[in-house]
Amino acid sequence: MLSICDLTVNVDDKPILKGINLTVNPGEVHAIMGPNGSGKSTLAKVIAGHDDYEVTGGQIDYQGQNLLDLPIEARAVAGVFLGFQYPVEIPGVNNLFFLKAAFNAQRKQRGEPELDAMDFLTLVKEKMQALGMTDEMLHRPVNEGFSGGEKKRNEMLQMSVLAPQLAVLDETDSGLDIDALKVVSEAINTHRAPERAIILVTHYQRLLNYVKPDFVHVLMHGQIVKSGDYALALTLEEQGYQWLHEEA
Amino acid sequence: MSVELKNFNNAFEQLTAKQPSALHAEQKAAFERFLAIGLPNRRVEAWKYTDVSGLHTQNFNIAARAPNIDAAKFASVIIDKQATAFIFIDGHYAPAHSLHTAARGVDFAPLATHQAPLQNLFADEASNAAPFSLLHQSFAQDGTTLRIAKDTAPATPIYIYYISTTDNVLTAPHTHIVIEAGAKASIVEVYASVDNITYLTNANTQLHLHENASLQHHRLQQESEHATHISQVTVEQARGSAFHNLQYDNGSALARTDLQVNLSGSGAACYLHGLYRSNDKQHHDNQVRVSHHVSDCHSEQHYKGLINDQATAVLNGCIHVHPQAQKTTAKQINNNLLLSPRAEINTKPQLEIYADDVKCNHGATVGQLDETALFYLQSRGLSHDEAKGLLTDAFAGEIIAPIGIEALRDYLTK
Ligand SMILES: Nc1ncnc2c1ncn2[C@@H]1O[C@H](COP(=O)(O)OP(=O)(O)OP(=O)(O)O)[C@@H](O)[C@H]1O
Ligand SMILES: [Mg+2]
Repeated sequence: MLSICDLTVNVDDKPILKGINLTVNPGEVHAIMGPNGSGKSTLAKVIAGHDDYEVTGGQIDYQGQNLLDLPIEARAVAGVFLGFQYPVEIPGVNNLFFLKAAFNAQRKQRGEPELDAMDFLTLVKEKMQALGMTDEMLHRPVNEGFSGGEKKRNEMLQMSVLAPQLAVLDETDSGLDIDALKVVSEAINTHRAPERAIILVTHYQRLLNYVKPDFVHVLMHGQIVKSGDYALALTLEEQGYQWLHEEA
Repeated sequence: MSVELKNFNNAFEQLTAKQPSALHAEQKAAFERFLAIGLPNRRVEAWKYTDVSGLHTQNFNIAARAPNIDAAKFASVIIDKQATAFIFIDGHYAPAHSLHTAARGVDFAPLATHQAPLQNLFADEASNAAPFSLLHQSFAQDGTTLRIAKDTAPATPIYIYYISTTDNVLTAPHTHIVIEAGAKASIVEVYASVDNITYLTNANTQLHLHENASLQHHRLQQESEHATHISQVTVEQARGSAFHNLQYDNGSALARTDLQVNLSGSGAACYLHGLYRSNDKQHHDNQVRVSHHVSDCHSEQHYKGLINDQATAVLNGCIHVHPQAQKTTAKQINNNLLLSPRAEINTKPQLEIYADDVKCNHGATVGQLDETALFYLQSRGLSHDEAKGLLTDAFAGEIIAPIGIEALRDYLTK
């Protein structure tokens, strides 16, 4: 589904990603861990198409297309979703209106029928219930004044509604209370399907207890320095990243 | 007379030829004075950012009467087809196109047929030496006189449309509205055209709010993209009156509106909202001046601008507090979004405060679209244009959402 090959990325002429290789197949869940500032969010944003990040080498193939050639919105239409580490507040834009505009924009681009207001509301309410969100949040401006945890739930609502093929969730677990972590994990597990893939960027093994990854990768200094299975997350939880510095 | 004003002189001769007897001596005098003063140039402080010299090289004609025109031609500018509408075509009242539902308390007469025609035009402005005020006095042929009777409140809004339909037409529509004591009304003035014609509208609106009167007033400047629109709006507020205004600029190549509000009775309040959406090479200039003449009045100015392409906008918001106007509260906000690197805004607050017990705050912002918000929206599948549209609509929404007339709100959000 996703194949990243020798990807190098600069920000303001400074190399941040220095040769990333990663292959993700349908049905798989990959966790990416790593110290602060190692380039995890950079990788996530490059996949989503943010143009502050300059790709200086390498390729990203997504379902047989050159992902780097696609404009941001075309990536979304093709099924790529980024759950933001810091969801953006958009004053004056109603959350429900935004969600419906995004949903129907994607459908239209794919040549699928758009949903009318009633059917869409039914769909959204069902997803919200699963996430323990109140209706009131639908009628507020996008993320404006939402608490940290509410913003993350709102990201999950968008994922549930938009139903992407490839979800890259950047620290969706950060800032969640214990109950919220369970709810969000359940949403991710519900989303998990043989034809879909998920990349979880996280600092905590806690999330991985609920959402069992098939692979765990460690990103350090702009490279994936170690890959393993769930056991690697446990080792990291115990020993931190220092031993990897030494190994490298 | 300078040779540069020959075009205005030609138009004035047409007016004289049409109905020599109907012309007031004052009208001729006003034109003489206009010729002596000429058009303002940019060395004049009030016209520093707005260049009207292009008017020297245009030809102008006056319309002798409203031309015959199929209503379908201007159907798109009509906001609510069921509502009371006084329609003026090329400066003249067109009763056949108008819809006068005889609501209680609404007394309308076209200015040209009024008992004392054009009388109030000069009563209020005789001393006014501003060039466009003189030009307006010279060319005013028709307009609206409207009176809302004491303690009445017409249930539905009243629309007044000034529509230009002929290339090179010069109109000077005059609007004179009195809201009598305790009365309440909602009025929409629309300036528009058919097709992309070139013309000049030199409008003048005078609003009188008597004691405890309340007026929701909306002015939509939707002229053709080749038009020039120059207007003066003067508002007199008596004790306890409340005035809500929306100035909406989306049309014209060049538009300039001078809004003067006089808070002359204590307890009066005004809420002046504005939205300019300036595109291509449009130039929108708003000069807003609130004068607090007496104590215990409240004023708010909130103008917002979305300036795109190579458009320019000007906002000069002035709060003038006279020495006796104690316990004044006044607020002034101007927010702008520059949507292109070549768009420009000149915004200037002007506070002239001569009383000491005054609460006054003001602020102006000039920004750009939030790039992180654009990325967020696009990452959910919206195109760049759709994302931009959502964000600019959200910005404009703060001015449009509070509009009390649903049809107008819909018209401005569509
Ligand atoms: N837009 C930007 N401008 C300048 N520097 C940037 C930008 N984005 C990222 N960087 C830099 O790139 C490096 C990697 O940042 P990134 O956000 O990818 O780290 P991260 O692994 O997600 O860290 P964290 O775990 O703290 O979220 C950091 O040194 C950061 O300061
Ligand atoms: Mg990060």
